[in-house]
Amino acid sequence: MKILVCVKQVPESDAPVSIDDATGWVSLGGAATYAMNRFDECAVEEAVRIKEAYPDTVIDVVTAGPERAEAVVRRAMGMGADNGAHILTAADTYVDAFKTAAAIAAYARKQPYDLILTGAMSEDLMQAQVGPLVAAHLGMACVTSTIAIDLSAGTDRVYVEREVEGGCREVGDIRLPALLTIQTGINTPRYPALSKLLRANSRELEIVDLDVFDPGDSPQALEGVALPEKTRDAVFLEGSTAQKAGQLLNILRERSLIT
Amino acid sequence: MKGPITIIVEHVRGVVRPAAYELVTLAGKMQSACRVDIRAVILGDDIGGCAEKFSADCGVPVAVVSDSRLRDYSAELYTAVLADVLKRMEPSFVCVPHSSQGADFASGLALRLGAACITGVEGYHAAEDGMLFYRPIFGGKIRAAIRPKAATTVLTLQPGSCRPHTADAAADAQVDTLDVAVADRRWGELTTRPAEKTGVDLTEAKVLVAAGRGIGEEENLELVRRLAEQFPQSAICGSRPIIDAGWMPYSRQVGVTGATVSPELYVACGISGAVQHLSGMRGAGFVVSVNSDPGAAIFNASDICIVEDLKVFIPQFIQLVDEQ
Repeated sequence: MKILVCVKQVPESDAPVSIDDATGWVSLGGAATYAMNRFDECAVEEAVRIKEAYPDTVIDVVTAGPERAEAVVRRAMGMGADNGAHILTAADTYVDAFKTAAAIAAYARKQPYDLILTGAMSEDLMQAQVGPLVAAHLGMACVTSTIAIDLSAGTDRVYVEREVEGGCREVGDIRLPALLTIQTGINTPRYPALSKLLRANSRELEIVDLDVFDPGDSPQALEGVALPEKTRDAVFLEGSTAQKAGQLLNILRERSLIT
Repeated sequence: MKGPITIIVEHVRGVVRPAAYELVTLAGKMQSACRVDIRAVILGDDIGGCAEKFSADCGVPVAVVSDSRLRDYSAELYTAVLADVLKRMEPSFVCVPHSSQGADFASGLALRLGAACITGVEGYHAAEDGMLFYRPIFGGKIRAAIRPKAATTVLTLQPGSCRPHTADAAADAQVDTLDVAVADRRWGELTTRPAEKTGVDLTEAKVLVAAGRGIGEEENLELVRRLAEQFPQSAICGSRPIIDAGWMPYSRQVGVTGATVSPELYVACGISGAVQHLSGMRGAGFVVSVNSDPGAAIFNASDICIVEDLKVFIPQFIQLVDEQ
């Protein structure tokens, strides 16, 4: 079985973000730390578990991102992926899902994959578009928010469970090749093995420029970014920890929310 | 005149989901800015009665595609049938809920239509030179404005962003049944498995104390429990990362994929405030948030904001309650 996993590097969720007026985009500052998108970590873990069950499996990993994003490809290889590729984009700019998906689809077309796994969404842009778009480009079956995978029923299909509202699941067999977007909670991703990480660091990644796959103009564009509007009063309590605790108790008592 | 705003009505076997009525509100507001008609499309099996009711309740003409193969949702069939219907309708905007169905088919449909696709929309701005759509990014810390650049735009609306439309004066239903060829499924067929019954009902609690990823360690859940004990009729709940980690059962998850709650008081401990969580607790009466990150998006959705390490703050608060 040949699997492609699409991964993305995102800022750590507590990284301070501000607006860069010069670029019209978001600035994370030089001290920001980055990690693999959590949804994608689960996708890599799922692929590695498939490889453990079916040892003739080959796992390729691809990312689209600036130079620093190669770290997440190597991390995926440290977790157990075989080969890595990096579609290089400009740093610190907004890259539209339309372009990313077209590039990944063009890359994936070079060889037949039985299964393509992506995260259900990225933690930073939260569009949930790249997976379904790649599937649409490739004419593949697509299942989003996948929360269970089982390949034991045969080589031509995959049993999936996808999460829908209210704790319900949609379950059944989907024919291969298929693209599944992976929801968190499907597994607990492993830490990369040091030996594999060292080996991954010594390997060359296949590097492709985003523009090689230029699909033309996106049908939508970023107009700008702003701070979100407050939907409630957002009163910040001031003072020492004890003073804040006292203020909170008074506020809750005034509103009869605590006795 | 430009093409209509077309609402894709989400339903489960004829039961229309509240998200569809939120789209009617959005479309009505957008209509006053772009002066185009509003239409709706329902795909299903034997769905005429549902279409009549929706049309009468919302005063919107509904186009129906009825076929036994459309009894349950299928991304494959929805994409193919909607592409067919919408190519004839030439809408300016296609409005879909940002739900497990809507987010599943919207971007593939947009690609087929050569349309713009803007997902997780929370609001819009009618600028002189066209519409801009707002969507949260970076965990809700930033709001991006996206401009469509195609004749048609498919947008998915974040649940809870608009009040659902309520039927006012009953209008005459306008239902038009379309003759569209529906192919057999090639991908395979998924069936719905109902949720497991758990006995936990978060909607009954008057006070909810919620834990998020910011609590750090599982042992800090004990602090959250003790804080909840300070309030009568309280319960603890969590955001998705806490449930994914196995620290609480699924029945205690608040958010898009969990419960929607409206307690009198919601105390958010270490919750970042991603839109998926906010959708589940927007209806709370009063919201207090404790987070060590002063930029956390939860603060914009809070009445009282406390920038503190909850391992320090919660024991202090409990001690104060005990003393007084």
